[in-house]
Amino acid sequence: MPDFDPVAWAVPAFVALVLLEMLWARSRAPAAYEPRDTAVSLAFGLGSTVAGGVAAGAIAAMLVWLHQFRLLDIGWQWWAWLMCFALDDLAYYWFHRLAHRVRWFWASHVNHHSSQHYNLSTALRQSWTGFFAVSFIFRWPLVLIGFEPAMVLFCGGLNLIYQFWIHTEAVRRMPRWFEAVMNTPSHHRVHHATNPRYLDRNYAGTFIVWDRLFGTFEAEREDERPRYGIVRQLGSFNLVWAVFHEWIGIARDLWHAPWRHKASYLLREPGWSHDGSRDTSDMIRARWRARHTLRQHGTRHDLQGQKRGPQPPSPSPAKVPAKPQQP
Amino acid sequence: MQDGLIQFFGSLAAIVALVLIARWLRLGGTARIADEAEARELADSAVCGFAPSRIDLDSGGEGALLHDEEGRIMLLAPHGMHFSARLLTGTASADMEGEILVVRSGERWMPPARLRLGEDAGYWSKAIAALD
Repeated sequence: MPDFDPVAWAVPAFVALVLLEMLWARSRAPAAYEPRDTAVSLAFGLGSTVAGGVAAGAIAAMLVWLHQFRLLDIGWQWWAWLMCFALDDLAYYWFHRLAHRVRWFWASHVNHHSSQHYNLSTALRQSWTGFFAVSFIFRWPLVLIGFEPAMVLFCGGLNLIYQFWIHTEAVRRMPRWFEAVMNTPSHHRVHHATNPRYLDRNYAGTFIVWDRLFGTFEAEREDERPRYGIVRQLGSFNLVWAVFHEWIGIARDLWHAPWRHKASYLLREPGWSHDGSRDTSDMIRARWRARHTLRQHGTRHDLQGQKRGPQPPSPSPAKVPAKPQQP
Repeated sequence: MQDGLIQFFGSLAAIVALVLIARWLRLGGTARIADEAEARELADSAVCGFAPSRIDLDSGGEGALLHDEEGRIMLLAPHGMHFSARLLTGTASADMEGEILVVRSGERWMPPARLRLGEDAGYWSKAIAALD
């Protein structure tokens, strides 16, 4: 199998573009970078390269072995590259969606989201534990269809390279046609945001059409600036904790949970708990939506009241004490 | 093997250089909470629906403690240019060091928040000690 990793060749360009974005940040948005956060993100990137290098042989060997069971002999035709890239992106969409909806996969993917900053260094904040989480199985269908293993890995590399440039606040919007088809900085800012409206949206790698097709698309709004990171922010720049915190959380939950709930702590969505003591993204969104609807309803009601003319004064609500009693 | 080592140490050198450049360019800084309205907004964004009935800000804006009607206490602790929020539990502690209230969330890797709360520090010290 040909051995060529496009990501390794892109690293110098990644470094140069991070530097350029830092220079942009100096004059336009000094808060876009925080040196300690940048150090953690880039260390993640380096560690993931090492982890990827260690696992690469095993992943490639598995793909080659599976290829013998292929349905079709697709070969190396030019159109096969285009199809492979598009289907690999579809496979990425589903991997990425499950990486946010199944805690086992999230434990690895959370690394990419744990920065409260959103800049090009965040793009390099890649997991060290992807192989352990068996994330590679999402590429298996492509070789079983009949695409060449090297082609699949190459297209996966190109997909990763594409996703680098969309991790920035320096680009507001691309042309409308581009925003309609491709994943862009605007779409991906939504994906990295913790605002209830934006949670678990825009899973796309290269083509945003998958989100539009499967109902997970959310447009970035001018009136709602994304807040980045994870629902429960890390609060630490400790690299080892940043890498393994969710795995440690899983281990603790497995240890303490009743037997009948143990598997759910692995397979259900992040934030799920058997006693309902934690919040999933669906619960957060539902609470936010209920309040949002109530506010809109209240505003409409107020407006109708104003149109009807002055109303008799309502009794004053009980005044909330400025400060509660001493404990 | 040799190519791998060159790539590793080359990347490591690039990381060190980028971090030093970020410091040299004076990117980042210290996060500050401007007022109670901002603290309220930060609390709500951390725990959707958290409506504080009492808010005390660090005198420099470098953190805050908030209490809601349900008796929950939230710590807004500085984390680089941002804040991380925690609903404190019985594992949390608060100790006075001179005029500074040092609040530990109970999480091993989360640095303690050092808050200048003036006369209100005593209230929070007792409130946190009383948590289950």
